Amino acid sequence: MNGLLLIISVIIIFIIAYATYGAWLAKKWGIDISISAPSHRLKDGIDYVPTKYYVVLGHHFASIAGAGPIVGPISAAFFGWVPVALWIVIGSIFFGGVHDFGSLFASMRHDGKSIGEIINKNIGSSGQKLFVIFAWLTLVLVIAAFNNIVAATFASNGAVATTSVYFIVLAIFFGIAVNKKGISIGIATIVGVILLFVGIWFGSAFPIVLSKEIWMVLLMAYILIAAVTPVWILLQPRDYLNSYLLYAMMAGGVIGLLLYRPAFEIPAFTGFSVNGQFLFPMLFVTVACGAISGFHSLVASGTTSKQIDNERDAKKIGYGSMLIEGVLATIALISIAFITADKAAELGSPINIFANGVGTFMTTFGVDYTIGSSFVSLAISAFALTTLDTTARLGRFLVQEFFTNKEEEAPTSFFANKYFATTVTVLLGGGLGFMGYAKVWPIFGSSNQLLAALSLLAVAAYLKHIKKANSMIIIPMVLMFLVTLTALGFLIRDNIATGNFLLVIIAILLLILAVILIIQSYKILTKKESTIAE
Amino acid sequence: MKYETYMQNIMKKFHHHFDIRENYSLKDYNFDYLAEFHERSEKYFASKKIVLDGMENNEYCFFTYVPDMGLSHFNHLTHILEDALLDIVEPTSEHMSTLFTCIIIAENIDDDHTISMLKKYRYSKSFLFNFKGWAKIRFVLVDLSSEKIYTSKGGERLKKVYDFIF
Repeated sequence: MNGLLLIISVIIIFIIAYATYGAWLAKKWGIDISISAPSHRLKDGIDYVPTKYYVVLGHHFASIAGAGPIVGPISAAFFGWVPVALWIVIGSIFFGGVHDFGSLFASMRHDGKSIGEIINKNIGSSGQKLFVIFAWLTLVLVIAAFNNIVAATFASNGAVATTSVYFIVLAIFFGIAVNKKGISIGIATIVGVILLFVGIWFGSAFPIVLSKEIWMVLLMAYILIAAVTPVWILLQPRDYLNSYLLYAMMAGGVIGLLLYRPAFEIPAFTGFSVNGQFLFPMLFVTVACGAISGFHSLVASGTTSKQIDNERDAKKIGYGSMLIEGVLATIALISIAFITADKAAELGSPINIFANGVGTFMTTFGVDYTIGSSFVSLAISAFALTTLDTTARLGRFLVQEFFTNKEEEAPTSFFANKYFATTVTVLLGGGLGFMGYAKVWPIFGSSNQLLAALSLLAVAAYLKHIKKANSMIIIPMVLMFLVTLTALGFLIRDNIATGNFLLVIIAILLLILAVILIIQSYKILTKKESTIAE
Repeated sequence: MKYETYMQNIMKKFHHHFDIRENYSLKDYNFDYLAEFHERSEKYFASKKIVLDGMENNEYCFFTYVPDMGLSHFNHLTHILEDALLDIVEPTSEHMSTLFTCIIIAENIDDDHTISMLKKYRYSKSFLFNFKGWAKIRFVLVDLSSEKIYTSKGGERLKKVYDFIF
């Protein structure tokens, strides 16, 4: 097997899946272009902002495609390239794509509200409360981890720090130019992308040197502001412009693969149990974003559903971006598959392995290896920051929804105030980053996949309510519950042995949460007759 | 088995992974040996220059020879170790675990009550809800005359290790 054959096969399969299965999903769920989207009905110029699909696609893709689709497949490659490739393809088409598209669609039908609100309307309010607390705590953990990642990157490489700050300033000018000065998005994009690449040079010329701790504090201040400012001025244009970095990186990887045609060095399959790790559930938990990730549903039902212009764009953004992410995950898999185990050990981290892979592939069309691999590292660092500020905003939404009076649909409580909601999210996340979040980080893999299972559950209940077919949701949901519950069981067993009882308690609480929501929704999902949700 | 032989066998196994000191004084107590193990692992992002966080795990094994083991001696040891633990552990954000294992090698044990108290003993301390790690004290009582091993709560897995020395 070689990398070229794999990437071409995956791209062709994904194009066919998008045109057939994606279209079938849209038809079965009753995508209706005559329904006014929440971005129009609830337009507030801050969170609800109707936006062109390619800009929302850029935001959504940049937010979901952080380091996850790269780290996951590379980390799981010790099972062999075949199971990882199969799970990327099957997972993206029948699991992740359905999950992301379904979450986006269901959120749009619930005023762009979160999965928690979908649970509230279709399963019950106690389930919603449990889900929101769980999802919010997961986001807090993501903030802690990504604040560390971004701060450590900035502290060790001042050029990346300068470039990232430059991107923020550029995004603000872009947002004002397009949204307030009426400059066409085409021209603004061309100028913006050129200036984006100028930023890479600018960063190298004027590196900012600060310690990791100072960067952590500065980043907390930044996401505090970014989470409350109108989405069109910073978050949306930054993600949109950044997505071109990702597209360029992927295009460079694919074109390079066409010419390089790397043969695979790693075995096709190493076994169902490797070094004490079982293929089930570890493969499914580890590949994560490359096939299905619960974090995607939070983005889809958080920021994306409030910006999308019309239901016709839901397939492109929800299903399409998951398939593009599947391509990125495949490039990541190839980047480890074509090197020897010794080389992989020398390179160390998955990000380094990926940067080496894409950097090597790009040499075939004249890009210097050092420039290529540095560009890839920079692009990934930019996405870590994108994930960080989107997460802060999503956390704010969850707190606001939790404390909003359901009868009056207005943020009557002080706790639902957007400044309070953001501050508590950022302070807790940032504080956890200083306190030793790494002790609980191992729970993220399982909790992220539990989020996916619960989101599928919410969407299935909603589809049942509106009398639409939901079997395409039920099957992935059942598998994701099995994966999560098994992984949590292993986590509890392993951490009892090591004495990390904090992790054991959290894992037990997650198990209880999953069981409660499964019981609550069982009757709804198995009911023969159902009333249509209002 | 004689104490000297037993200790020689232990040290043969320990010296690969532990730093060993003879005649180690802690508070007012003199231990025959102290075996220390310190492990540090780091997570990094992209290159090895970008360290995200570190994890530190430590184990201290205190060996003491007590010809006639009794309850008062055991209680004395628990006080010493509990006091010392708070001095030795540095609960930073990178600290994950510190284990104190006290291995008492006895020729005779006064009564069953001492054994039963040792078996019931449990000590663990959490630092900032485990975010700054945790620490535990375990006891292993080696009865040379009967070649039996008794462990305190949380030290059950050590039984095999010290039994194997016989």
